[in-house]
Order: sequence, then C-alpha cells, then structure tokens
Amino acid sequence: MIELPVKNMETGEYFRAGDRAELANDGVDRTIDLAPFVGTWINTMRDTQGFAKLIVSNRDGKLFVQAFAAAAPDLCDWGEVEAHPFADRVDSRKGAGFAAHYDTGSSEVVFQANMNLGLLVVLTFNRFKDGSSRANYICREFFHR
Amino acid sequence: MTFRDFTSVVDYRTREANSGPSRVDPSPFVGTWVNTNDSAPHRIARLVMTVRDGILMVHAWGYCTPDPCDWGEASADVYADSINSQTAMSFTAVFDFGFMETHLQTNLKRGTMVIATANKFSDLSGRSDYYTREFFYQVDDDSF
Repeated sequence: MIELPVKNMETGEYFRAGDRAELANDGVDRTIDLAPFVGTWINTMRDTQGFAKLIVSNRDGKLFVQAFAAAAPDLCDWGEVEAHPFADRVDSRKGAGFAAHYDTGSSEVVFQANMNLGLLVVLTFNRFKDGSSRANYICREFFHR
Repeated sequence: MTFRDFTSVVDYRTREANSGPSRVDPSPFVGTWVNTNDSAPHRIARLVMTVRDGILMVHAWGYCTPDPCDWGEASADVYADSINSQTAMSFTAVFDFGFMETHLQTNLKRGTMVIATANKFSDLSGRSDYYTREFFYQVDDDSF
C-alpha cells in the first residue's frame, strides 16, 4: 500500500489522498485536452430509442455537445449546450470524460460521458419535472465515431 | 427548440406511467459498499447507504491515511431503468467540500455498484478537474 501524508483536517484541501494539492503545484498548464472528444458520434445500436447521434465540438477552447434523439421521421435535435471536460487525475490534462446538462422544461437530462477503448460511453440521468408520474431513469449507450 | 412532454421515443407516456405518483424503490442500494480496488489513491473507500423518510442518504469516506476521510452525508436522487419501472438501478449525489465539488453518478450492474465521480475544483490550486470510475461490492455490516 502507498504511504501518504496525513490529511490536514484544518485546511481541508483534500478528501482523498489522490487529490492532494501538492500533486499539481508545479506551475504546469493543465488545460484539459479536448481533442479525444471532438467529432460526430453515432450510437452503436442502430435501432436505439434513446440518443442516435452526438456532435461534440471545440470552440475557442470550450467544449460543446449537440444531441440528437431517436424520433420519426427525422431525429429530434436537442440543440447545443456547453459541456464540462474532466481529466483522469488532478495532475493530468488528458481528456477522460465530460458532463453536460439539458433542461427541456418538462425534464432535466444530465449526460455523463467517458472514453473507453475508442468508444464514447454515455450515461444519461433523466429526471421529470412535470408530475406525469414517469419514473426518473438512466440509460447507458455506446457511440462510435 | 420546442419540446412537447417527451424528448425521445423512450420518454413517451404510456398508460402505466400516466397514473399515480412515481415511486422508485431505493432499497437495492441500502447497506455498506466497499471499493474493489484498494490501491488507487483517488478512490472512495466505502459508502454506507440508508433510507430516511423515504430519501436515500449516502455517507461516503475517501481514502486517506491513517484514517479514511469522512465526507459526511448527502441525499441522493434515485433513478429506475425505464419510465415504467419502480426498481432503483442508479443514484446521483453531490458532495460540496468548498474547495471542490464531487458529483457521484452510479449504476448497478450484476451486484456491483459502478460509481463515476466528476470532481470540480474551485480553489485555483492548479489541480485538473477529473473523472473516475470505481467499482464497489456490498458487505454484510458497516465494519471497516
């Protein structure tokens, strides 16, 4: 087991040993690399009833997601929202995942995406606000470029 | 963009989902959960989950030495696997530490609880916001 310094309860600077500020206290630029996410991502399940396509883009260093849900005859364009990227560690700039949030009025949907073996794995957390008695639910889908 | 009351085919209201209040049963999560990986320094060490007044409560401990860091308790939002289901298979919760926010986003898979954490720093310490994915199994009691 790795020996780590004892947490300073007074400063409260970390709540997990891997979060210690000294790990990233070297002045290095840690702007997260957005390149792994950028592109058009297609659901691996062609007959999905969830999200069929995602367009992820980088504009001026900010990450944006445009989601398209399954609908007939055309896909339902949810429009574009800004996404928040995450690295894989506090001392890394490697893009490991992103989160995005849609509010449709009747529901809220949170996207939580991560890269795995060239796939974009997306969990959506769907919460209804309209009192329709539909259960809040999650959905896990896989996308390829 | 104009939405009706559904945004993809799976959200379309069925007769079943249109009658009575929605109630997702959080009991599959109740108990003590321990991380499968005891070497990762970023890990959550364990979780104790209870239901209080119908609300799922999450008590988490981060890996620290010599003792685990007690994160305290947060309430969770519970999710089913479809609009017609009443069995929980996921929850989300937020721990706000002041200098950092940690969002827990989980799902159950074959008896394993998969937890993704999205960690955002607000203290200008130079630490990257980061993402983890961890796996937990259930144990019989809350001894640690």
